[in-house]
Amino acid sequence: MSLDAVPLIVADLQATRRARTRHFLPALILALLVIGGLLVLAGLRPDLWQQPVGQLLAQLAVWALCLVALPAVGLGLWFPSRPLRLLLVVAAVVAAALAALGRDLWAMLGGLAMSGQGPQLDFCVSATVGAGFVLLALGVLSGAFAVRRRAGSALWVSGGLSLMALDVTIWHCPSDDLGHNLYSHLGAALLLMVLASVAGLIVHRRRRRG
Amino acid sequence: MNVAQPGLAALMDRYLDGDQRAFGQLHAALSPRLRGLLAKLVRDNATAEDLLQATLLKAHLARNGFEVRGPHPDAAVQAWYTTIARNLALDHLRGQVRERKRRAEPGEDRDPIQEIATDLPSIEEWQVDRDTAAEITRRVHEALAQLPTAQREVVELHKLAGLSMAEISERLQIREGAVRVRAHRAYKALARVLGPGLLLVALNLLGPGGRA
Repeated sequence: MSLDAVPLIVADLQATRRARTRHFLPALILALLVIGGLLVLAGLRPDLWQQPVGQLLAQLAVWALCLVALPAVGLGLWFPSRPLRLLLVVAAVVAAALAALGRDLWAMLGGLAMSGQGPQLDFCVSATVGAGFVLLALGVLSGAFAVRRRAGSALWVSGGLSLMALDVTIWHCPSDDLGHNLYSHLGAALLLMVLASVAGLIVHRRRRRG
Repeated sequence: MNVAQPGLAALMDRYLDGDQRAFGQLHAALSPRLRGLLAKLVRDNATAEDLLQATLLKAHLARNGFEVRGPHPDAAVQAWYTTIARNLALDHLRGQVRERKRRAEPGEDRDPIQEIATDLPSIEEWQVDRDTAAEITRRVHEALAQLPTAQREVVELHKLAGLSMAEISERLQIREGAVRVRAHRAYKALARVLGPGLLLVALNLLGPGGRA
């Protein structure tokens, strides 16, 4: 009798995937609770549903990317092709910029002068980085940074966490000041992404070696 | 249009991360080469096919130990699979020699390993295989220890001692049907603990010609 190894191996890979999903579902639920808690504590922006449709859609796209797509790639639950991965990265960057700046993004790209505010440590920077650190702790404790063999997987997870923190801030702060949104929302998220990426890479290296 | 395909190392990398599609592509790329090698070694297409399947399973179970060493990652992947396939073929041929000696048929004791002496693996390649076998053996013994004594006894007599169901029935003084029921329950329990893939490789290793 000839044995067919392929279905057995495929079944084993599917079982691994199911086990990963089961393992990380609680972490996702906890992340949702943290996000919900922060928004309840800080309060939703009063004009949330009155924002331009495009900007609101961009914010929803950021939620979808940071809660589902990016973690799925980082955790080895989804293996998109290289072009699709590139598309995801571009979509995340564009969606984050549009979600934070809206129509001002085009004005900024067109050379419109910004308000006088430069980089400064205000509530939105603290809120973004603070929320990000709580989510980062969740990621570290759940082992999300070290699921896949490649260190690059940690960057997908940290990207997702940073976008979560960015969307929390955007859904709290109603500012339409381009300078504030650029530095205190997008800039803070970028800073968080750098810190989370470094932390994620260190955790990945240590766990994979261990 | 010629679309660039990912190399073996890239496919292996994604397969090790759990990507089913990458495994399919890797399997499609490697199987013809491995099948050819095995057919050349064992000189029987049906056996070569069985050994190919065993190679894929064994590689799957040992996949976490795979590491790319050296400047040619694609060649490292192929060498890894080739080593596993070659070792399984050698085990098979050695089993055949033992079987022939056991039957003591004159004129049939030609050592097939001598025919492939130039294909013997290096010391390093044997090390990989010993590690793999040791890991599988350890997990199987742990799973065996969890079985009820009556079931474990049947598995040990069947797979380790190589007795037939009728011989076990005679040895244990129970009906052959009861032996079969115990064996069925034991293998089902082992498959639950080890997974179907590991169980099949384990049975191969545990056999009288195996390493356990």
